[in-house]
Amino acid sequence: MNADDLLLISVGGAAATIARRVAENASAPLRALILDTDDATLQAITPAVGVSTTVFGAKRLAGRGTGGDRNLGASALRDDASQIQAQIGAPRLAVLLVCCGGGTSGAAPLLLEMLRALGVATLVFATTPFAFEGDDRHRCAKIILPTLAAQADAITTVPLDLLAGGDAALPQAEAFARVADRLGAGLGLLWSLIAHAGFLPLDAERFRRFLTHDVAGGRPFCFAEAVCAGERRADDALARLLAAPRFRPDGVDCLANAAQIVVGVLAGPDLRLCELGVLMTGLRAHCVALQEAYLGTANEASREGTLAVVVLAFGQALAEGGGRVEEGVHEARGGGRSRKGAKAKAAARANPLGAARNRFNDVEPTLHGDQNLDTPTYLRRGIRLAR
Amino acid sequence: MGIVLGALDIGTQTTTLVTGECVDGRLSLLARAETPTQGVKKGIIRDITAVADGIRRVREEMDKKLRVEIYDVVAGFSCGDVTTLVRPGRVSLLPGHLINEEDVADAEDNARAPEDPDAPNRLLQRFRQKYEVNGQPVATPLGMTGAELVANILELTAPRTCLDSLTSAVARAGLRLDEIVFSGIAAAEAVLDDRARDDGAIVIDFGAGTVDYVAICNGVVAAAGALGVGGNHLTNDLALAFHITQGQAEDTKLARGAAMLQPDLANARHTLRTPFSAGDRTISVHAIQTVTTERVDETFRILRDRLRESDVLPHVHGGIRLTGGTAALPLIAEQASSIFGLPCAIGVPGRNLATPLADPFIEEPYRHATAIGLLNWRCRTLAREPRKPSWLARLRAYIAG
Repeated sequence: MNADDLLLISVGGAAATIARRVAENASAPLRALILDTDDATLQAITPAVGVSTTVFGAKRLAGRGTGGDRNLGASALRDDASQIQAQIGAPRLAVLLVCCGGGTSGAAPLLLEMLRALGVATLVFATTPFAFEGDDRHRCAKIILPTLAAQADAITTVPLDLLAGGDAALPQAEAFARVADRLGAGLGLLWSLIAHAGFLPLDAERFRRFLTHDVAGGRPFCFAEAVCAGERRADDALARLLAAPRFRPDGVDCLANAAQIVVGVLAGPDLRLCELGVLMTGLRAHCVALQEAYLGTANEASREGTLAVVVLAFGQALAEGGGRVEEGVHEARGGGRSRKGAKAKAAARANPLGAARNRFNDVEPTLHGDQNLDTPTYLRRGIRLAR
Repeated sequence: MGIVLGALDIGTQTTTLVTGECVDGRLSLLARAETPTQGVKKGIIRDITAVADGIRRVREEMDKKLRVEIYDVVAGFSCGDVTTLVRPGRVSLLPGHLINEEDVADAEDNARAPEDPDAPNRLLQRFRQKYEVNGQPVATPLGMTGAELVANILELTAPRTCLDSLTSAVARAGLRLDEIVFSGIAAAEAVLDDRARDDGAIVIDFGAGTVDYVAICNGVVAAAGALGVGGNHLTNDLALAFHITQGQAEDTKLARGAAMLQPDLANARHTLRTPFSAGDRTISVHAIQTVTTERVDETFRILRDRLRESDVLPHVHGGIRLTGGTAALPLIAEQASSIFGLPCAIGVPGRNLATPLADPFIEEPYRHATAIGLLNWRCRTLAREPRKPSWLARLRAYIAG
């Protein structure tokens, strides 16, 4: 894989800190673009190889930030669109990191629009403010999130409270550091998987194809990771993933409801096939609405003895069908595939393109035999296109 | 002085109103007004108000152009759910009885299915196909004798809700709907002359939302139908393939799309317009044409298979005519020709016209085939209808006893 095919972009001061953590955690070369309107924040970021920082909207804001005005953030990006576009280059997949609430995060929807115009697939990680933060920041996040969702190929919204672990006794400064560490670790792991050529690669091109053509396009997703060691590391990782609070943002088990899951496994050369079997069998049994599971593995000599697993759960097909699996109900169902799962599967077959940009997603599909003619012909015929 | 007629073609992309003057069964085209359609997908009306607004706009434009207000129109209809069925209607005959028009009318009536107001589909149009006397096909049974007369009638049906939506939209725009005609039939009406009809020909109307097809053999409609795939699918395929907006994909299709790969452009690249100034993105023209070629190839193959199933292809000797907006795609006629194994040409409206095509119909005439065909259809229907005597003639006849 070409290192330029993958790009991490962060918008705003808080996202810049997390992006820096991702760079520290990623074991593969990282090309990152850290964008902010506040010059002082960026100067505090420790330089790293492949990580470039850019202050935008300097003419309008003189590097002093937006003062919480999201419209100013958007205008500032528009001012320097040409320069930022040149810095973006021509990646195939971009991971956008934005902490919604601040004024600079108002530039994120415009940035996504720019990426889309350039033909870049986008995976967005957006955080929402802590519950104790001011109303203005919550209001700003509420406005920005739907516009991000409309432009992104896939988006996950992670409440900062959830990332911090809901520990009320935690000092404020430590809470921000913990958030940055946890998100940075998860994203760093994902980055290593996408960037590494493994036995079962989950490279940028495969990810891009999944995001732009499969059911996940435009859908929300949840993600969680687990790093374990020891003889029973696969069982432990599976147990931690199934119990991860990040898969249960509103008491609903998003993993059990997921229509597609992307599983990435990063380990040393001692990774055994039976461990992959444990993980995949366990996840398939848990995800009652599952239509498609993607597995990618990468090996690093330095990870000998450990097993790192990251799971992205997309779609939540049952939730749309009105049959959400509430927390705790899953066990009562016995973990088997339900009739509702089959129904969701049939619905997805009728229109496997998802909601992203397919202009026919809101009309009756044109079916011919077992083919949905609304799906591009070249795709159904398995033709690979030259770039 | 002829009768001024109006025809409305509500396509997925464009709503067109054309007017013409019918003099002694011949048509003179007068004017054309068009506007982009809102609220229609794959030929199906999804927003009656938006469609009615579009009709109002073209009507106002026409009023300005023609200074004659149009009240009655004939409208075209198509959607992927149009279905066809051949129904035989039988009449038993007495020995030695000469078949007359009444027997033929009875046989045709017997072929009619009873109208079910609760059925999801309703009748769109009926066409006489062939007659059989004692099982022998005949061109016309009049004056013959036999034990049984069979009239085979091809019925086109369409979803009731779709047809009702069309009627409502036209009524909301303040127009009266004289008749609804299947768009494929209208296109054939415009581009096929009598000789092509006798030789056997296929008309493929490749629109934005649907592809309509009609096969006419020995002067009768042998097969007809529609597929819910159109030019918009080509655009959508490009948008998904290159991860671009529908607007960019439409521009790309118009600029570089083709129905067959063009080897001389194998290494060419298409520059994509983006809303941002720096670093324009380029796409391989070969990749663009691969996407469009595959879609056109698949669509024609589906139509060919359907016509094969109807056993129509062996009777087509006059070739294929392509109409509709997608007929502008480079090499589409060559692609159709290679798949069907028949000569293919772009269809130009010309049947029954009193004068040759002129402005505003001369530019891209294949795009106007349906609308002109609708006018032609109405004109020929009026010419066939017995004319009612005027009130003055009736008064004179009354006085004369």
